[in-house]
Amino acid sequence: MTRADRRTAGAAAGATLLGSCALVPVFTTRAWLPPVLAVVLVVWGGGLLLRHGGPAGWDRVTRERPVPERVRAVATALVPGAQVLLLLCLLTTLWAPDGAWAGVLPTGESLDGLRGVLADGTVELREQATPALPLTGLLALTTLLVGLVAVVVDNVAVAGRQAAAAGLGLLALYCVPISTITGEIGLVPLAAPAAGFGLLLWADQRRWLATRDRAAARAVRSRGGGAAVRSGALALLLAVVVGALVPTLPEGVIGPGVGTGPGVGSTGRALDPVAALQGQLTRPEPAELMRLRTDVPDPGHLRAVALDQYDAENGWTLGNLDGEDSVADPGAAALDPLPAAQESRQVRARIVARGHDDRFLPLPYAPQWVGLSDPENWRVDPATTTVFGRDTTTAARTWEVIAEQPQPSPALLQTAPSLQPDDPVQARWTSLPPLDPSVTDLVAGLVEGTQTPYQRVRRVHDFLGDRGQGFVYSLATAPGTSGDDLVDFLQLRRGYCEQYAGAMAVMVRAAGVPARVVLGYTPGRVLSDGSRLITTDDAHAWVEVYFGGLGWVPFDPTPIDPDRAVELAWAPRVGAPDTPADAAGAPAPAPPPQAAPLPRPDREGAGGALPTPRAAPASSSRSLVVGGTVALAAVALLAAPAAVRISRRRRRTAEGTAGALWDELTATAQDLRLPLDAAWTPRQAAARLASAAGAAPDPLLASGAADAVRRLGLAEEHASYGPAGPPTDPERTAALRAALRTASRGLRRAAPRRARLRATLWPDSLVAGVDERLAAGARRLAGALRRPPRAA
Amino acid sequence: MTEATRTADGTAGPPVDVAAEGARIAANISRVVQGKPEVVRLALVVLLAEGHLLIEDVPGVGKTTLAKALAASIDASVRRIQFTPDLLPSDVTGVAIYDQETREFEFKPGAIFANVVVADEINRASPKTQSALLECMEERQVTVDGVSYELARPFLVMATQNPIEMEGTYPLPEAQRDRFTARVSMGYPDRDAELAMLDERAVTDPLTTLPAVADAATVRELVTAVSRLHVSEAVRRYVVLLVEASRRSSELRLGASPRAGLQLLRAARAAAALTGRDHVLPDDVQAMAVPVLAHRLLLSPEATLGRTTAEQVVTGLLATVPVPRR
Repeated sequence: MTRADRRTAGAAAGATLLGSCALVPVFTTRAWLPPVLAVVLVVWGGGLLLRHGGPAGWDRVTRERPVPERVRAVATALVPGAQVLLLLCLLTTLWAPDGAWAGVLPTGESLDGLRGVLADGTVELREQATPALPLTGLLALTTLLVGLVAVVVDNVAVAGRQAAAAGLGLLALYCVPISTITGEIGLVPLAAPAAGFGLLLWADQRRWLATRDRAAARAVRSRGGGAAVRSGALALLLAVVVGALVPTLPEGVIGPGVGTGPGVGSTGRALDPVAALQGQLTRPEPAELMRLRTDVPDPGHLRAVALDQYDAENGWTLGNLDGEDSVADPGAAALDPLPAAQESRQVRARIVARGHDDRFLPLPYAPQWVGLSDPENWRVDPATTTVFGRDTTTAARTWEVIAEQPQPSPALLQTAPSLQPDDPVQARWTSLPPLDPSVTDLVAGLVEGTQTPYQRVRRVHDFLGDRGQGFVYSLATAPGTSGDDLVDFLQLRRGYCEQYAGAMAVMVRAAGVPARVVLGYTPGRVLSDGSRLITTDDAHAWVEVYFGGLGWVPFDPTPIDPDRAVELAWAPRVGAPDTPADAAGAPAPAPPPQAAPLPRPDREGAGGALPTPRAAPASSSRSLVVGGTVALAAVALLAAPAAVRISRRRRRTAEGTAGALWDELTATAQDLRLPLDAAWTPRQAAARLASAAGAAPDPLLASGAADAVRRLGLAEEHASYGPAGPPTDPERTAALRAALRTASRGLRRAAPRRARLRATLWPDSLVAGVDERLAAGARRLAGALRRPPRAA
Repeated sequence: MTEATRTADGTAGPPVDVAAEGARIAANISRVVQGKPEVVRLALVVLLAEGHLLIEDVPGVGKTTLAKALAASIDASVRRIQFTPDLLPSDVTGVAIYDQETREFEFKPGAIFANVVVADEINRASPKTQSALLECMEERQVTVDGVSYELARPFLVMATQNPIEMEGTYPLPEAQRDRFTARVSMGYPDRDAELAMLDERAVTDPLTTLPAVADAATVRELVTAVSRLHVSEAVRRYVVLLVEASRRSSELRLGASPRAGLQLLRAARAAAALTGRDHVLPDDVQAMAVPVLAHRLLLSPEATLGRTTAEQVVTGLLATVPVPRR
């Protein structure tokens, strides 16, 4: 292994590490960095050891006999295999040490474990939106991806000596943020892989120049500047032009979320539950969803999913769910343990899904145990107590729940202190984007003079539920004009549960108290057999507020029909019960007709979280992305031969020797499909090409080109067969380069247009070379496989 | 030695102006052998390559005239041997005769002791005599009664031969044809050349008035200059590739020998020098390949049946063997 090889190997490892910086925006934390660093080091170290130790061992065993070509080829092919084995050992150590020999060497058992981890990773890949939580499976997948990229880059750059091609491996890493992140990616993930590619090219150039004599190397270096500037300018131009032509997705088109204002429905968010609700108002009958049987007459809300992220653009959206634990996990003593200080009562419930078909499991507050037929498929996100199916839904299921329902008295809530600003709950659940000043002013006015968080929450709750303030419940919302859904709602004061809950959660957060929006169901109406019937009409949204020492407590600001309303002792409704403004004669407000009663805060199209089969707009936009990518890839693929050909031409021209220039001329002729024979001497070939160039339409160019061809032929002849002359004279080199330009132009002009086009896009000189190389490889393989002739 | 010269294509020529000297000699010969510049040039190439030339054709087309004209053009000793069935080997090589007075054997040199030997109708002599000549050609010396006698330099045998279909001949065996550097056919002159010849020869034989334009020393210098010509590794490889290809050819029973390769390269050198170049090109090798190789090759029965000639086989080899570069 030469010094240049070691340098290239180091550059390949560095480039892979820099390339993996593209993953920075993909994860919420830097937990992916140590395993990625480890895997790159293992691949790099393994490669060095094998490439260095192999020849040393051979020398020792054979007493420094030269290595036969066949052994060398086999050894080169073995290196990536060994690196992949090392990668497997590392994955085993990190993610599946159980059952492995010494915790390192994989066994059948540890491989099964690893397979399980990776399978989890593929599911998490679909569930998580970027930035994703650093879940075990995802980290294992990431480590595997980076490890494979490291192996490919290392081998292509070191053994294949194709640093530029090795850069394609880095492209794979680049694709991860590009394809998963909708917003800005940031400078580091964009620049670091490019720097890695630059590092690879630098190492490759060092290697290449090391094989040339100093004068030629200096010439190339001095000339490289211009070529680099030209390439850079071309790349920039392409980026600008192609970037402008490729269809892109306007931000937020497929953004999910629960709107916070009446204008939401009019903004055309096809996936937006509010828009869906409005679109389905003509539904004549509510559909049955679930039957609920409990041991208490007032079971309270059934919560399905909590929305924890708010931004003005998309409203309330669902963050990533941590699905590492299933409801069957013995480790979890209770799904949602209540703080000791909280007052509660136990509720037992049995729920039968009739038309309900959703990934989120509706459960009463606060579930401690859930009984399902396949508990391992139901995952819990501990932060939001959201129980969701992994590759399964609630369709036709029955589940039983034991819950501890919080029943705090206002006095108890009154004692809850404000959380410290550095408290993780406070930090996570009060984060807000900059709000419109009218909102912050309103909140500041409301909470003025309050002492405790509970008082602040009550002020906001009571304000929104106060008919005297002009708030009415209405499904027919009018579009606002401010451009901010929240501001519109607070001005027009018409809306339904999503708007009320969304507005309250924002305002409570603005008042410095942790809050989130919850989607679920009101408990429906009691049937004659004592069970409760929950229909699409019962879909609802409300708010949960966190009190220090007491946990999450529900609040419902929406002035809905008292029949549906859940009375909460700590947040009584203001004034007289309300009825929907548009209820007279109109059908009851109904969620979408399909058995997906809940607004689906689905971001699949944007980031791959929580896929929904019915998310047609998301898939159509994804097909747009996929189509665009495929089209781009096709264009890149089509342009690849031309690009390689241009780079060869530049290299030969830069080299400037008679041989290189003659090679370029004959390659041009071959591209134009002018007949050239290996059995021709340069003089004969020059004569043929001169007569071909002499057919150019412009007589001046024709004679000049014919002369230039002959001059190049003579130079090649002398270089190949003449006595070694004095070192190359720059003037003569320049003259020969000029001759090459003239000759190529003449040849191209003499060729028909179609031949010229084909020569540019599909240069025969490249393709034929590939064919020959493939044929030579096949011959070598056949020779290696051929048995020695049987003795007669 | 003269100054290094410049050739038409701008490359440096050898110190002795082989091209100019060669052109002078060729022009001189052409005064007698009209309309055959290629044959004349080949004869010169063989002379400068220190080889021997086999001229093969029907009687009366000027084989002997060419040999004589070449000999006359270089002011050197010329001997002509008319081969007949009764010619003895000692007539060629010479004989040691006992001198009564000195009581010693005295060596009487045979016809071979000359710079240019014209062996006319070599296929009319017995194989024994033929082989005596061919041994001298190869070894460039004559051994009689254990004593070796060096032959003159330059030494060129120009053997003429009637095509083997003619009666009463002993065709040269393959092994002996290999000793000749090149074989050439005179061919009939074209109409104008024949007409001019008829005009001139009506009065006198131009051979008798042909002046010498070079001497033996000049020719030796030219030969030395030719042997110093640069031959790149690629050209040497090309020669080897061609020779190898002839051995693999399915149309040939016998391919070219290593000596054939050696002589092909020598001939190519001379040809390059005659064009004024200081290095050999694959083109020179190609130009010499047919005359140098064709007469040594034995066609396979299939090729013979197919009326393929050795010349065609060599041309085919030239069209298939790739020309190495660098």
